[in-house]
Formats: sequence, structure tokens, C-alpha cells
Amino acid sequence: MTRTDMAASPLRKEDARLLRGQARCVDDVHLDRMLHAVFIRSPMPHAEIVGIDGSAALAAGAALVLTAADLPFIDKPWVVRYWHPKIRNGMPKFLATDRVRYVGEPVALLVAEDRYLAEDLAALVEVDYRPLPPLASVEDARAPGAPILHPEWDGNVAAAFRLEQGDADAALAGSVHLAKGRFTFGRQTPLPLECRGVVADYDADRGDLTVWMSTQAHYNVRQNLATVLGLPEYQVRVIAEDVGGGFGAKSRTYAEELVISHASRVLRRPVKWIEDRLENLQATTHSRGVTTEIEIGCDAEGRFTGLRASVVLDLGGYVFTSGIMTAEIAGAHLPNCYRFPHQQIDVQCVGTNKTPIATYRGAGQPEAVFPIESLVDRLAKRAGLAAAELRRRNLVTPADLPHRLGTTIAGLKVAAESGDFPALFEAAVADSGYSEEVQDLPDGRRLAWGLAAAIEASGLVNFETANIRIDGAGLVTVFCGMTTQGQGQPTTYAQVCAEALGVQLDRVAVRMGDTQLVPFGRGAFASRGAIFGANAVLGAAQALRDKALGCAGQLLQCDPGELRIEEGRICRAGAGPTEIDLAAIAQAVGPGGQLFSGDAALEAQYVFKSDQPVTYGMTVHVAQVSLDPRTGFFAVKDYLVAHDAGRVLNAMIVDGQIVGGAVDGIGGALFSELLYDGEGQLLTGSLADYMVATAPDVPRLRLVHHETRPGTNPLGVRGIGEGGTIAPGAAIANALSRAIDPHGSAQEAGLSVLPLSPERVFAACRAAGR
Amino acid sequence: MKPAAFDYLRPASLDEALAALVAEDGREARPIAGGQSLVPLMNLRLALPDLLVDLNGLPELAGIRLAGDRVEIGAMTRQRCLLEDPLIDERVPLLRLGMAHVGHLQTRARGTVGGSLVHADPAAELPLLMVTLGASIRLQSRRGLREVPAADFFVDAMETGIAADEILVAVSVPVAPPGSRHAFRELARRHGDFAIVAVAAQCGPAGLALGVGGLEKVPRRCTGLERALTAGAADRAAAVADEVACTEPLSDLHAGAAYRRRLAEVLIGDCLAEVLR
Repeated sequence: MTRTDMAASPLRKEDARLLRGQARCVDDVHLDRMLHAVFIRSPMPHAEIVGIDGSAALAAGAALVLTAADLPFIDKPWVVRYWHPKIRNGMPKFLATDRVRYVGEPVALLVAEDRYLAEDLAALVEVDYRPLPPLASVEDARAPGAPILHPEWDGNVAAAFRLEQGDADAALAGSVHLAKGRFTFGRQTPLPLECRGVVADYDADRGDLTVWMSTQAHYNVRQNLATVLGLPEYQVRVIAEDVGGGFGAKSRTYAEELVISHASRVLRRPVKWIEDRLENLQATTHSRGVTTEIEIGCDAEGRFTGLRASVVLDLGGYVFTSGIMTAEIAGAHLPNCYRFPHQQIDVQCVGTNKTPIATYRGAGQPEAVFPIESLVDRLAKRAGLAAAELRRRNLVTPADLPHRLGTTIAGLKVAAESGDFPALFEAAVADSGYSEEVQDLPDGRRLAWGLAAAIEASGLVNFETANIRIDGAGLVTVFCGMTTQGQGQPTTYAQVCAEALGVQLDRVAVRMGDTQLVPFGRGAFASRGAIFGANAVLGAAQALRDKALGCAGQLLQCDPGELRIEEGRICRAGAGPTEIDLAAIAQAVGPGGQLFSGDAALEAQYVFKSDQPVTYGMTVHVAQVSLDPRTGFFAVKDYLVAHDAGRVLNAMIVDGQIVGGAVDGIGGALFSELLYDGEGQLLTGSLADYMVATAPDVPRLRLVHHETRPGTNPLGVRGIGEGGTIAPGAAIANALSRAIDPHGSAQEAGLSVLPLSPERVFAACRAAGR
Repeated sequence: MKPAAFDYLRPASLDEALAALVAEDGREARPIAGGQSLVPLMNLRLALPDLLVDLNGLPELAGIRLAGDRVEIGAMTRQRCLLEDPLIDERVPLLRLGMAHVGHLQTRARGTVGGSLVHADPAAELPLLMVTLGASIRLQSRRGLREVPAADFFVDAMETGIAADEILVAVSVPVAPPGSRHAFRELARRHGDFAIVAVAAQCGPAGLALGVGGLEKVPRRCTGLERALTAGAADRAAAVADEVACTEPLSDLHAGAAYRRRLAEVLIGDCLAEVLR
């Protein structure tokens, strides 16, 4: 298979600006009379708030101290989108009212002339806490007599549901070979380079609220600001122009965004709040934090029979505004890219005194792939088959398409409708050099390979808007309801528009990240930038092309069907360019022009909707590790990602997204872990202790592109932002497991926890007698 | 993550700096060198100095020179200079080996030799290297100059024998005897991270010197092991095990005590294999 012909890789339009440090992030916004805010956060994991006294801080010069009692909207509900019906409430208030449930929970806001002063004054705000027993783990939360975090959370269960198809118990009972295990994916955080931040400017005389902020979902924020603060939506503007990374952490509204906006309204001055890294690690949503007990079986020929699992998410103290999406996907994706005729998957979200869990790149998919792909390797040993061979016998084939996973996400019966999984799998095995032989090196180290296959969902949230306008000079502007956190949309959208419209790339500018631009939008999350954003641009560009050609037909007195647009000029079929170009048409259509009929400009708007709002693809990761069994230290020596991006809009950007995702995922498999002590205190409050992969820790990644076109969208694209994070945990654990003990299973307990710290790996080596 | 208010002084002479450190009314004055450890502590408000005395205006405190059979390194010498100066490579090659594990290009460009020594992180390489090499540390105050063996300077985790009115001005390191062999091994979670355990060893005509960092609150000079091996202990592995068995290892997020012992045993064994013929 070859890659898309049009996958030229023009350099990214936005990079000159971003690389020179000229991005406009929130902290770059400086407004006249602006004040600076700091949140006073709970130092206690679980406590009653007996009283809050801000009088000393006010006397010492604070401009404002806000507590829950000062918020007139404290009891208003959040505006959420899709919501799992089994969630038993438990959403946070905008500031803590009578009780705090995690370290870092916002309790009060203090505003002062600058951030230094604000932090000095914050120390004067006295909060009187009465400690309650902390639930520092799922075990604590389930213990008899444990305090209940929210009245509706019976047994501290915030949500529980079952996904079921067929009879898993009977299928497993009738299996020839069985494997089971308990896998834990540690708590992690998305860690964007730019922490969260808000600048709110309320203009009391106009009643307008303008908010600059670092978010992935500016329209959802606007909706919350308007509804909760009681403002007309047209008077609320949210600007998120350059966002320094999101990775799922900024994909819904946070309380801080509403409280800062309210503070600006109270003070009638702009207020800035910039989250620092300690706050970011404490109070920006966490993710992963899943323990999965799973059993699978196969028949004598190695065909999978059934899957039974229990997925438990360590949810934290509240249900965040994005609901329990990662728990849903962590359960729904367990069958992965295989035919499992019988499945029974119980999912439970258990409340603890920790930071709430929300989405992080992959959003439940890495959490599903780690257990199932580790267990497939174990089952292969039991069945006496090569791990690759057991997969071959069970992969969904093109003949199975459309293949229903048998599970649901957001109430949708999800299905893979395109792709060639076996071909992609074979390409990964062949190109990587994967082997199940372990190589002993003279210095005592061992080299071994591991792989993991994964189904990959993209484009999960429906509808996106694009509006394209051509001015009297023939310059084209694309306005889109998306945001960008650096994934390259200003370039790829310009490419799609230029190609569909028939203009040069350098004549197209892209604007997004501002709720004033189009009436409706969503934003950049759930790998939806290409599937929804680019297809919206395509639809608008095609509509605009048709409109322009219709006008050209009138001007040239011919059938528009005989015309096309090339490099902005109208051309006749079989003949050369005419004297008419897009500039002339735009002038003709606009006020005073000869074709004027009430339009202000030559423009078209299009909202893309997909009938199947999840697009499935597949990825295979192959890792080679070198292990020193004396210490448990290991290095990832080689790493290959095979991937199906569908049609490639810009090969350089696709490669960058896959590599970036894989580095994120490898770091998550090796290093990243948010640790709490037994009292519910976060121990990893700085980047010295919360670790991510850095350049020397990751080998140069090799990519294999295997292109098939999905039928879910006109461009035939798949999302590519998350696939890199999905499979590293299992691929590396499988390689290590093989290096420790190629044939046995004594090490299994040791490698069931991510991240794979050397101490955990050493424990596995010792358990295997190495 | 903003520091509390503090006064700032950038003295033009060592005398002026030393005078500023003499406490008045219980105010805490602290010297600042490269700022790679102190500034983060101030941003977290874990350090709350009333006065920062900036030593960056004192070029006389920086520099590397040979003085007889010792190499003298000024306290304000940037860490990167130890990697770049041929004098270090020629005369104290173990120092060059160990410095390759210290931090990152950016932190080595700002961080100083003296700053790392007075910060005294149990896992830092420079304290380990100085203890292993038998360096002596020069402390200046208005009361006078004193010289402390590195082995006595490190008192506890993040704690040294420096007095509040003293500035570490230089460290004096014996040159390696000709024919010495050197080894430095370290295990850290990532490139540039503090060591979980690090081992430095030098073996020459004068005997064996071996130190372990990251294992205990302060760098350990393994004198018992050195003696046993010099006396010709038959079972090297047993001697290493004996040495490690009598340590009191740290335990933290990155490694538990038993695991640290294990790593120390492996790294000591590897270093010995490298330096002992």
C-alpha cells in the first residue's frame, strides 16, 4: 500500500510564529487595570470546612476574597453534554462549600495587584478544617464503615454498569486454555506545557464578558459561563487562540474558569489567573488510575471463546464535567481488535479522596489495551502458540466488516467498518524484525521483542462548523469552530480548502479558537480535528466552489458545469483560463457588484455531521528492550508503530502526531505515576517526581503506514492524535516479560502494574528466579 | 509558585559578601550562586531568605588551577567547566567521568560546584566525588578561613557543616596518581535525573578509594571495603555484601531501601571489576 498521493507536506503555516515564541497564550494577555488571582486550595484530602476568614487578607490589601458563600450561582448545575445514565451525581461545586474531598480542591479565591502579593495575602486567609478519615485508595473506599463521599454514592460507588454480549461464563467454562490477571494502570496526568489559565474581562456597561483561556473546548466553556453566570450567550466570548497543549486535560469546563469570570464581574476589572505547575499536578484532572481483572479463553485451535472482566476506576472525589468517559472506553475496548463472541465486562467508578479523573490522550484505550494485550501473550504461552500467531487467529478480518465490538460507548453500538487489520499486523511484524527469541548479550543483558495490537477510536464527538469567505482580492479565510493546541490545523485546513476550492495554499488563512467566529463549534479533543474539522472545511469549500462557479457561469454566460477553478482562476473545460478569477467573483457578489443579491461577501458555511460518529482504525506497536536482570533497569532499544491514518492530509504532521503520541505513551509506560501516601497526600507535586519521557529515554521511532479509507467521512481520514499512546504499555511489558522469562509465567505478577519502574521489573526478575 | 519578598545584594567583593552574611536581628541571609536548587525552593516557599547575597559578581571565586599535587576549583566554577577543562580530564579524570551524569546542559551551564556541595542532596554526584577523592572544602568567614575534609563536611541529607556566616570559596582535590584507574557507575530513572545509586572508584599506587552516593543520607566512603580488598580479601563479592549490609539506605518514591542496597551491590561490583586488575 502506498500513501496518499496528495500527501505533500507543506511546512506548517503556524510554526514560524510558534517557534519564535510569538504564540499568544493566556499569560501573554496584558490588559489595562488587570488584577491577579490565586486560588486557596485544600491542603487536606478529606475534611469539613468549619469556617473561612478572609478579613486579615482584605485588611492587608487584597482586592477581593471569594468563598462559596459569595457565589450567587453556587447551586446552579453545570452544562454537560453526553452523560452516562448510571452516574450517581457527585459533581463539584464552583468552590468547596462545607467539605473538601481532595488535596488541591479550590476553597477560596483571592485577588490582588500582582501574583506575588496575592500569594503573600493568601497565607492570611484562615480556613478552619475538621479532618475526616481520608479514602486514599479504592480499598479504603470499599472498607466497611468507610465514610461516604457523596450521599448518592452508596458504597462510594459513583457509577457502575455492565457491558454484555452472549454468555461469557459458559464460554470460559468450555474453553480449552484460560488466562487471567489483574492489571493496574497507574494514575497519570496529561501535563500540557502551558498550564491552565484565564483572563476574564467583564465590561459592566455593555454587559459583555470576554475570556481568554487555555482550553480545548471554548464553546462548552461559553455555554457554562452564560448559563451559570446568567449572561446571554451572545454576550460571552471565549478566546483560545494558541493553546500550549491540552491532551484531554482541557477538554471540558473547570470551576476556576467560572470563578475568575465572576471575580471580574464583581471587581469590574480584568482578572488573570495562571495555574502554576504545583496546582497543575494537584488540581488539573488526572487520568488512567484503572485496575482491571480479566480472564480470557480459547479453544484447542486458539480461537478466542470469551472475555470476562471487572474494571475499577479510582475516580477521585468528584465526577468531572466530562463524566466517566475513560471508564466507559476502558471497558468497551477490552475486546480490542479481536472476535470475542462472548463478553461480560463490569465497570465500576469508585470515589476516593484524590483529584477527579477525566480524559488524557487515548482516554480509556491505553487502559484497555494494557490488560488485554498482556493477557493475550500469557494465553499464547498456555496454548503453546507464538504470541503473534494467537493474534493472527483472532484478528478481525476484512470479511468480518462491519465488525461490532459488542460493547457501547456513549450509548452507541460501536463498530469497525473499514481497514485491513491482518495486513497491518503482518506489516508491523515483518518491518520491525519482531522475533520471540530472546538474545543473551555477553555482558549479561538480554534483548527481547514484544508487541501489542490495538483498535483505535477517533472523532468521537459529532458536528463541527466551517465558514469560508473570499474577499475582493481573492484571498480566502477559513473560520472554524475548532481550537488548536499545535496539531497543525491552520495548515491542514488550508490544504483541504485550497485543494477543494482550487486556490494556492498561500492564499488561504485559517482562523479558529474564538467563539465569535462561527455560531457553533466544539473544539479539538477526541481525535476529531481531521474527521470533523477538516470535513467541515471540505463541505464549506465545495459549497463555496459551487457558488463561485455558479456566479462565473452568469458572468461568462455559460453552463457552470463546464467551468472549474485552478489557482484561483476560472477555467473552461478543455480550454485555458478565462479572464475571471475568484477576486472578480467576490467583487461581483458583494455590495455594489453586478451579481449582488443581498450577500455581504462570497462565502459559504457548512456543519459536518457523521452518521457513524466513531471512526475505527488499528495500530500495532513493536518494542525491543534490553534488560539488565541484575537490577531491573532496562532500555527501549527499538520501537516501531504501524498505523492506518486513512487518507493522509499532511504526511509530516501525521508522522509528528504519531511519534509525539508514542513518546507520550512510552513515558507513561516507563515513568509517569501520580503517587499518594496512605493519608491521601499527593507525593508527586513537582516534575522532579512526576516524570515524563525526555529525548534520551526514547529510541528513534520507526513508522509503518498502512492506508485504507474509512467510509465515515468524505475525506476518508482517521484521527491520529491518540494512537501513539494506546499500545506502548503492553508492547514494552510483553518484551520485558519475554526477557525475564521466555517460557515461564512466574514473573507475571510483577509486570502487571504500569509504569514499569525498575524496582517493579526487578521484583519480577526475582520472582522468576533470575 | 512565587517567592516571598526578599532583599537582594550583589556585592563587588568577597569581604562585602561576608559582611552581608553576618546576621542582624535574626534575619536570614543566604548566598546565591547558580540558583538551580535555591530558586525552586524559594518559589515553593520552602526557603524564605530575608536577604539574597548574589555571588555572581565575584569572578575571583571561579576558576580551576593546578597547585602542586592538588587541583583547586573555585566555588563559582560552573559545573560545565569541569567537563570542558583539560586540567580536570588530565589530573582528576574521575571527576570528569562523574560530571557527565550531572543534570542537563542547561543546569550545568548555570549550576556551580560550590552550590551543589552546600545543597548536599544525598543523590548528587559532586558530593560523592569529593568524598571519594578525599577533597577538602574551604570555608571563609569574617572570622577566618578553615578547611574541612569532604568526608566531614556532609552531616545529613541537605545539611553540611557550613556556618551561617561562611561562604564555601573553593574545593581542593588531590590529583590522581599516575597509573590510576577510575570508574563511575550510576543508575537513575532518566538521563540527567538525580542518582538512585551512584558509585565512584579510583585505584592507584596509593590504594583503592570507593564511594557510594544516593544510598544513604550522605555519600559513603567505603573504607571497610577498601581495607578488606587492600588486605587481599579472597571473596570480593562477600566483601561488597558485607559493606552494603552495614549501610542505612534511604527509601523514597523512586526506590525502596532493600532495592537501593541491591543496586549498590551491583554497581560496586561493576566498578571494582573495572578498576581492580
